[in-house]
Formats: sequence, C-alpha cells, structure tokens
Amino acid sequence: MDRSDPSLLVLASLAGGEKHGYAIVADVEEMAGVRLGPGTLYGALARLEEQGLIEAVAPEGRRRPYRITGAGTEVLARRLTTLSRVADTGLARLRAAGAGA
Amino acid sequence: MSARTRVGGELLRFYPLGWRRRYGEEMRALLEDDAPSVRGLATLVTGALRAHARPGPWRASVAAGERVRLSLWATFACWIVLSIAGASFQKETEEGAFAAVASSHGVLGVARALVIAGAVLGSAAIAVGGLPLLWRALRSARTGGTAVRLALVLPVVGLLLFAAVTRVVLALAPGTLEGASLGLRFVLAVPWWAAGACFALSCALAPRIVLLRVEMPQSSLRRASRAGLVLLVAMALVTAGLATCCAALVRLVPSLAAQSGGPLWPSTALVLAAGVALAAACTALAAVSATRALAASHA
Repeated sequence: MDRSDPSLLVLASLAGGEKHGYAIVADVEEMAGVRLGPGTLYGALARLEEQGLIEAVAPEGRRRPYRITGAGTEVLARRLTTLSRVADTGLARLRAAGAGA
Repeated sequence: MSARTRVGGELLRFYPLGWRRRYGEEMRALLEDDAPSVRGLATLVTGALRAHARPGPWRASVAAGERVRLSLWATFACWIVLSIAGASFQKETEEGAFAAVASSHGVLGVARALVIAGAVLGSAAIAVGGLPLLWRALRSARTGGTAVRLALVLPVVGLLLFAAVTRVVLALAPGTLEGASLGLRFVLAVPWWAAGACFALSCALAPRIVLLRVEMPQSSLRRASRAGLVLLVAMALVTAGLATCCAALVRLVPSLAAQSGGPLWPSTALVLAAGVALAAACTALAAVSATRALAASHA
C-alpha cells in the first residue's frame, strides 16, 4: 500500500466501517504505521467528500463520522488491485534476482 | 488541555471561514482527543494554505457578501504587509549616498519612481475604496458592539505605541548605530521592530473585525472591490520597483549594496532582497483575493 497517500489510507480505513477523525487516525496507524496529522487527515476527508468517495453521517456530539460510498468502494478496490499487482510483480522479481545472484 | 492542543486550536483560525464552519468543530474535537505532535501542527499550517489556494464545496457556507468582505480584507492586509517592505526600502534609500547614485544611474531612479508611484496609487485606491467603508463603520460605532469600537481604536493605539517606542529608541540611541555593539543594536532594534509589527498587525486586523460586523452598502463593497484591483496594480508597481532597485544596486553599485543595511542586517542588498520576496508574496496573494472579491461582488 502507498503509505504516502492519505486519501487511500482513509478510504481503506473507512472500508472497515464508519469512523470519526480520531478513530481514522488510530486505525490508519495500526494498519499502515502512519500517523496522519490533523491537517493531512481533514485535507484528505475534504477531497474525498468533494469527489463523492465518502460521505458524512449524523454527528455524534462534536465528532462527525464518515463512511465510504459505493463510488469510494469501487475506487478503493481498483487502486488496491493495481497496488497488489505491482507488489506481487515486484516481489517475484526480487525473488528471481535473489535466486540468480 | 495540552499546550499543543491549544496551539492547534489557534492554528485552525488560519483556515478559511467556510472550512472552519464545515470542519472546524470536528477538527477541534480531534485535537482534544489526540494532542498533535509538532509535525501534526505543521500539517495544520500546510492544510490551511492548501484550503485557501483550492476552495472546495465547503465554501458554499459563506455567503457572497461575506466572501466580498473577507477577500477585501485579505487584499488590504497584503497591502499592509507590503508596506513593511516599502518602509524598509524607504529607510534604506533615504541616505544622501543613494540619492547621489540614483541620479547617476537612471535605472535606480526609475526603480525608486516605480515604488513611489505604487505607494501613491495604492493610497489613492484605499482612499476611494476604503474611506466610504470607514465612514460607515464610524457612523455605526455608537450602535455597533464593543468589538467594533475596539477595532476602530486599535490602529490609533498601535500608532501611539509605535511613536512612543520610536521616541524612546531615538533618545537612547547614540548619534549613529554604525559603531555600536551588536548587543546594543539588538536591544534598541528589537523593541522598535516589535512595536512596528504591533502597529501593522492592528492596522491589518481592525478592518477584518469591522468588515465582518458592520453592515455595508452593496455599492460601497462593489466600489471597494474595484479599488482592490487598483491596489493590486499598485502592489505590482512597488514589487517591480523593489526588484529593479535590488538587481540594479547589486550590479551597478556593489559597494553601496554591501553597506550595512541597518542595526542587524549585514547588507543593504539583503534588506532589499527580503523586501522583494515579501512584496512578491503579498502581490501574489492579493491577486487571488482581489479577483475573488470582484467576482463575489458581482455574484
């Protein structure tokens, strides 16, 4: 997974169910070892919401959870498939290079 | 609440109004749940800059009238900051040596004329666009809230403070600071700069408070938006003058460019270069806000 793409990390986090800001930060840290700063997180949330890939749900007090939309699920699946193919190919080439050395 | 949470809360003020209305409260809750690291605080600064540069649908929560007022204020604030660069240029070039050099090198004279033309044009634009708004604010002072009255007094207090500190510094300073120790230069220059910064800040912030709290006629806001474009041209003239002067001085009169640029600056060229960078940044920001003000005033 591309650890430098906060939008992808947020989408992957929301694929596991709706979450508010802090829950996303904690989940992304556990999943990818990346701690999203508040400015980075909300920049990504705003972009994803603008693109219709996530949507806000009714706020719980001052915390507003977000959930992934159908379009968001499709985009996430497509991007993860590409990443997975790149990872598989890269790892296979590394193994082949290791065996040849 | 941790100090970093408080700093983070203060940094949220740098986000656009529409953003704060949409995401401000939940971001504040996140900062309270998870005190940000220094790197996390830095993401708030970069996030605010990105939000200003690339407005999204959250902007819809700000009415067209509010957008005009905020964009007008941003243009004026850019002018105030650019004035600091202009004032330092004036300070650097007021010596007789510069006048003598300017008369023998035409390009330096032209550069100075550009800065002066920009200053005059900018002042005229502020008079045409800003005075009707100020007049309206003064008329509303009695019925307006305490914040409006304080905002109207704030620049006067800032000016008095600056004048008082200048007087004290002049009384304490030796005839010339050229030979003074670095410590003495520091002790005298820093309070003077701080007072100048307070004055500039009061001039920049007071219009924001007034513009957001006092009802202004649409016609006055439209006129101010058009004046904002003239102010932008004035800022471009000042920036062009400063850049020309800086480049010409270094190329044509390197000895003058290398001279001390004030109590703490190593050279005149460095002061002018810093002024050019500041002026260019202000002009670029003003270009965005002036055009947004004009667009919103016709929305």
